[in-house]
Amino acid sequence: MPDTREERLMSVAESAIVGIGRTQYWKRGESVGHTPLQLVISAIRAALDDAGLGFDDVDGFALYATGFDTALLAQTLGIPNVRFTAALTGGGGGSAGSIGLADAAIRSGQASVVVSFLAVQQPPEARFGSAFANTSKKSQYSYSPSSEKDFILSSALVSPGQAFAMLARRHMHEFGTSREHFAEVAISTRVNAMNRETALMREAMTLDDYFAARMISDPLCLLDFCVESDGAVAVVTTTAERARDLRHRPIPILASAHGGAGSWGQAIGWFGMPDDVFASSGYEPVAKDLFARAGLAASDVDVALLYDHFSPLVLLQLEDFGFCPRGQGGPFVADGNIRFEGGSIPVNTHGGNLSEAYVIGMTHIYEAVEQLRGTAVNQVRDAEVALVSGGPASIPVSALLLGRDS
Amino acid sequence: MIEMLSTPPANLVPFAPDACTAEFWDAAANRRLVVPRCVECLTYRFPPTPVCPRCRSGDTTFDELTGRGSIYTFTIARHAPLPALRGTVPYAIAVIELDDAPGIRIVGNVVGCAVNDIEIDAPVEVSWDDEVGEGALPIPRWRLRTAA
Repeated sequence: MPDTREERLMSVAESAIVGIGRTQYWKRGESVGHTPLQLVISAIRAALDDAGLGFDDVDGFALYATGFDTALLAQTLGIPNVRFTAALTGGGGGSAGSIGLADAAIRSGQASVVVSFLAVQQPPEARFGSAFANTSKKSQYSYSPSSEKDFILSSALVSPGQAFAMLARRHMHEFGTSREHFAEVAISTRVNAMNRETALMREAMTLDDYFAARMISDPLCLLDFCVESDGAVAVVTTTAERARDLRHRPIPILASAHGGAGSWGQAIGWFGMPDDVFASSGYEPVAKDLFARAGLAASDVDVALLYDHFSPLVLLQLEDFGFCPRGQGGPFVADGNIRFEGGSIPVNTHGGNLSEAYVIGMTHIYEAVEQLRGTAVNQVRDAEVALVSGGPASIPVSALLLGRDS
Repeated sequence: MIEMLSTPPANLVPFAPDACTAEFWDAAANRRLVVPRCVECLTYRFPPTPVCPRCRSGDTTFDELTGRGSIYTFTIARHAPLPALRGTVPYAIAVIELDDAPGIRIVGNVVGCAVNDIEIDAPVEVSWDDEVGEGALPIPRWRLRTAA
């Protein structure tokens, strides 16, 4: 392993992100004039344009779950030859991992220009907020009944927010974490969204606003929940070599990791996780792998894009990725550490899922690339290393370290 | 005013018990709480699955429990995520640890008490619905237990 951080950043990457694209973001259900396929194609077209590549260059798709039909997509787009098409398994944690899958395809030589994408469209019958119980055929989040889920759904535990509220409550009990700490995540994220035209929630949020918000699933109030939105984001990854000749400065993939412990397993789908990690994000083993692969530590990260479906889970990830000790996420954010202005580790400079838009974590990758290109709206000065997480959920949870080509 | 917790409907969504979970639900229909335990290494597991995650033995027995436990964590649902739950809020969802089956947890509703009476570590005991409606499972619920 090379000695200096500079050498480490240069040595590991075999692939790089070269293009990012997106549709506009809509409030939930408001994109229904477009089909999901149209949304996906718009985002891919924008990402390829951004890279300076064309549809004929694409030879791979690396996705996260949701079961998008890449046969239909390749046929629709007239892709000359698909050499790699795979999706990470899982139930919420995989957007960052889809880029890791692209990296794996490129490292193994199976494909050279790989597209990752996600589209979200939430008409009333397909809201993610009732995902556990969503058996509507119209929903891209439809779940079929299973003998394991019987033990969850029979208690009317039907919403991810209810499930994560129980992790949050346990963290409060064990470590003295308070709603003020959750509020700091919501408020600091909102501050970052206020100057962004892309953000769906741009009005200032005060502590009074937070405490006046209606309770959804105690201890989580409305402002602890991410926005419900529609939209699509696409990312293009290619070899480090080819990346040098394209439109933008390449963003090297320093490391990716996905997985987790079997004892974390379905996490909020069974609640049998060991006591010592129950009130966590499940990220500890993945974080260890991630930093080891890059030869980096949390202290090397300049900006963290942490999947924020619910505000308390940002605290738990800060702990699992090693930005602060276990249990100290609350006091850590209370000290201003995750603020864009003056924070030791700015978090979700794009407004996150909480205030910008919810495209299941793809917006976090988009922001990481803009930060490392130096073109972000809320630019962290001299950002060289960005951490992206794919979301606390059942395993695999996934994460990505991106760098900057000098 | 004391705000009481509701009991959610027992037939909210379609259920899919299978050969692994049948013994649990059959016992529940007779108001008995049973959980799977490995015959080889005596480790409890939940939900019922084909093998023990510790020693991977498929040799399983179902132990009947006293139904006593304590609240490990909980949430008070105040918003109804589904239209069918609109008349049910607030209701409590809790993760329960069982006094006589260490190492496993079971998710259930705490019923029959005020919202403000619920807290982590509170002792509870199993409680069964008076009737099991059409399309429903005999769901174990939980009531606060006062120290005897």
